[in-house]
Amino acid sequence: MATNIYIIWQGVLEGSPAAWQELVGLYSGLVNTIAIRVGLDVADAEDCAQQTWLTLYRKRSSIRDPKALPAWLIRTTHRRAVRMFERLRRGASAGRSFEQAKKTVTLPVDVIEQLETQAIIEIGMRQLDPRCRKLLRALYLSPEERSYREIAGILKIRPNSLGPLRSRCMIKLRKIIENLGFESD
Amino acid sequence: MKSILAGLEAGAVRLTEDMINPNDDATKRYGAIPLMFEKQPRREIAVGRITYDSWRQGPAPALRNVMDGHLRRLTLKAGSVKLEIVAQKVRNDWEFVARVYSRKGVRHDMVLRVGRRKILAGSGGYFLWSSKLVPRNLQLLSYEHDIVFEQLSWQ
Repeated sequence: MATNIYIIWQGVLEGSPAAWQELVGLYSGLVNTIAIRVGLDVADAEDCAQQTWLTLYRKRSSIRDPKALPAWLIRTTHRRAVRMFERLRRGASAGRSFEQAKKTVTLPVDVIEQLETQAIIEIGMRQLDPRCRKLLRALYLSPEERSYREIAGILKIRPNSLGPLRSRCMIKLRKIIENLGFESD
Repeated sequence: MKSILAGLEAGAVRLTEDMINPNDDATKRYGAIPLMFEKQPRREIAVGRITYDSWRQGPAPALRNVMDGHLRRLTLKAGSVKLEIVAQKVRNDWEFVARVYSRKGVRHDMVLRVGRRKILAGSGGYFLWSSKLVPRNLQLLSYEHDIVFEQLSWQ
């Protein structure tokens, strides 16, 4: 069954640990990615992400619409990661070279928007059946461009079945994304 | 959020290269956050005992709480769960580092309760805190059970 963010969020508001863990599972990649993209190393990014999750839990009752969660998580993590990076840069304990230290750390708006989109698609893809996931990855997310014939070969289907299958998979993905509370188009 | 699927079809979204998932240990720690705030339903309680205390061979009692840099190492156990603590006297404070182990290695899904204060492990599973006061009552909280350790003496 597709994940429904409204059901998960309701569980979180009611204090369900299982709902909380499901929410963390959905968005932990997004939160971690933001912290790392700002320039923190893996351990610092994990600690930064932890602070974001703590803040979210504390303030959960102030978030009325779970559709706002990705944007809230991005904004909070980004602000905290930038602050943490600046503090590490100033501190003697940073252990970074000057070249690393002088890098600008604030992420541009378009990068942030792209990450938000990616996170939602990634969450949606995880919930697709393996065949659709394989097809959509091969079509749109593979680093090398493949012909329809090659992709049909990988999926062991006839090339002329690829178009209808692609349409069905996109409909499934659209439904999953809408269940997550987002507009797909 | 505009045109999510249009972005995918147009090749404007690349997932595998850019999203970096945290390791499982970090995800377990984030999952334990409700234990920091909520009173959990009644769970099984285990009792833990001290199995190692460096003060048993350590400095004279008169020096224990006054020497700067002085260390105390403790191991407490309840079944297969082991809590290791290192306490260091730094000027007027004590600094503490603790870690929880089970048979499979470091545990990341527990919250440490020191007196009234609850602490979530950080990176590597380390609990870090400092205080002017030494802890007497320690508990480990998880969704399955709680562990209450025997009271610590700092004399």
